[in-house]
Amino acid sequence: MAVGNLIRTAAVLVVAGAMLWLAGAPVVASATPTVLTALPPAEQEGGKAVTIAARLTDGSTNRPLGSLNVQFFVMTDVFGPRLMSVGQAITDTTGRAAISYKPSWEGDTKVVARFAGSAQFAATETTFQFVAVGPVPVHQDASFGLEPIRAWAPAVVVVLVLGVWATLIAVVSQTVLGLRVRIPEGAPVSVPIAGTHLQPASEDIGDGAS
Amino acid sequence: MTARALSRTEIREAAQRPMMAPGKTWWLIVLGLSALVLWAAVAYAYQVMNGLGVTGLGQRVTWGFYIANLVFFIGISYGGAMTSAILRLTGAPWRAPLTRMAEATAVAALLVGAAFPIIDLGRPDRFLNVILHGQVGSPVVWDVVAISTYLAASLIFLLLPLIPDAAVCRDARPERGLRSRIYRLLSLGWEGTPEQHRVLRRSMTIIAILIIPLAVSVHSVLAWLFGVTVRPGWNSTIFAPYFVLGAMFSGVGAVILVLAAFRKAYHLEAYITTKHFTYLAYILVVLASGYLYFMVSEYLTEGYKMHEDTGRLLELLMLGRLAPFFWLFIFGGLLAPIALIAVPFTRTIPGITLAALAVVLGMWLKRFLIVVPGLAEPLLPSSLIIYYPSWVEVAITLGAAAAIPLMLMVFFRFFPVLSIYEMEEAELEHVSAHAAGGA
Repeated sequence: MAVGNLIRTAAVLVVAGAMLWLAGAPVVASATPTVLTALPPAEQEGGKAVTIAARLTDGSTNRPLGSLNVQFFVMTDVFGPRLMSVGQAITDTTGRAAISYKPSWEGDTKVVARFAGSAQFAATETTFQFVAVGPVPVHQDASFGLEPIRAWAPAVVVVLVLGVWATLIAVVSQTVLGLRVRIPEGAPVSVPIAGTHLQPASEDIGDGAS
Repeated sequence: MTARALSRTEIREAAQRPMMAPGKTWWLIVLGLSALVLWAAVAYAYQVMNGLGVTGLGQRVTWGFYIANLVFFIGISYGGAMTSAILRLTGAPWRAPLTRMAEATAVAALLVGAAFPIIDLGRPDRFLNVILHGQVGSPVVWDVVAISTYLAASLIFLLLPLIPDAAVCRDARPERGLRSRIYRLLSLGWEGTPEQHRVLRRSMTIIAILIIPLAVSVHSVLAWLFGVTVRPGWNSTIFAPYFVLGAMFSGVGAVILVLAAFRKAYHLEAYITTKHFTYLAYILVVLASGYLYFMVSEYLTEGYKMHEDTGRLLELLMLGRLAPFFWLFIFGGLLAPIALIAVPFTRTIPGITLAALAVVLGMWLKRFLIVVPGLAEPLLPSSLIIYYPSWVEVAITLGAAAAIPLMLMVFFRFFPVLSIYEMEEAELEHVSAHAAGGA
């Protein structure tokens, strides 16, 4: 009896699990195949924005697919080769998705455009590359016309630091020189009260009872 | 000052009490602290031989315990120097028993803190590159210049009031040993003439004035090291005053701890009284309130804008993995000390000392929470990096913390723990005031 219940429970669990798996399984297997066609930019002058684009079409009918999200990545070599997300765009009625991108290095830039798929359409991606020509500054020149300040600021700081050090040296030297006891001629050679820096009449400052 | 006037003999005896033959407890504490320092030295040697790979630091979290320690220990130093300088310049009559310990704490903490950028380098020889190939535009170069200038000023600030005290020690030892020679050298021929008084007072005033902007500049430069970096949590314009206030906060806490320890150990109750602790505690509350204000201002403006990176960082701090530490700092290191000092029942020497301990530990935690999460949060698409310190970093941190009391204990074995010069002057003023009042 108990064994029968156990078997029944296990069977229910297996069936329920299978149903859940089927419900959560991707439907991509039956989705319509798609194609992403690269629309690479021409050779690009460094430091200027470029439009990188791709067109998404139905793989079987070649019909353009609109209102779908396409992500764009650039292959970087920061801490090892990896794809860096540079933006995403929705395809228009012609199936075209495009973003503006400013290359941050000179030479080949490899771009990956990726459609992640949907309930109706299968995922796809395409890779293309373009060449950025000329120097591409990683950081923009941040001077904004502040060049005179940029030129003088270090000198001002150096003068300030030197001034502080000169003051420190002056204080030490004037202390060392100023503290030398000048014993007047004819005075006894021994100093009056060694190490005593206050001159009250008695040894004690107070009477200890006030 | 105390209710009754103290005699010169009493003051000198109390100030030189730690210079007497040390007891068993002194040796035990020194041995314990030395063991921690030695352990740190072994850990550092191991790091030098094997590279920074033996730490928990990595390609992303490049600053961990070491840079948190740098900010923390230099902050402690700053608080010591500022407390002494401000009290001197404002002529606070109750400062006399505090200044020596505050100034010595400042130098000890600075020596420890200044070692951390070199420890963090991994290869200490590379420090030479900062000197040989440093660029004026580099905040690291600013840091080296600021710390070395401040170290020189702090040493002078400690040594100037030590001149008359060294003369007292010199005269108490007519024999010609190494120790006597050092006292003779440091006393600079002090005999207590009016001209010498004038020269010394002028020098001390100049240095007291100079050390305030210097200390502010050191901690501001440290703050800019973070502030000029485009990192979530660091990219802030208020970091310099925020750091300066935080440094004073932790520094005053450390001065209270040092005072409490030496007062207890050498029975200085007649000289360092409840009044001294209460006044310092009031300063601590003012600084705590200021720090709380800066913190709220920082998090409110960042949280309101909720830039993506900063939002993730705030979530990590307030609700995420680091939330227990963050709230521990808020309640344990900031609000609890304020409450301990605000409530008259706990505004006692043990209560204030406990508050100061909570502040010091809390501020270390806060520095850690500034340094590490800003790096752990990725700028490129990647996952959060979790930093765990290795035994090497823990050992070096504990050794550094032990080095400060060790240096102070050894220093006060050879030099008066109270500034005899200032104590006697203060007592003389006290007696004169009483006499004038009586007349």
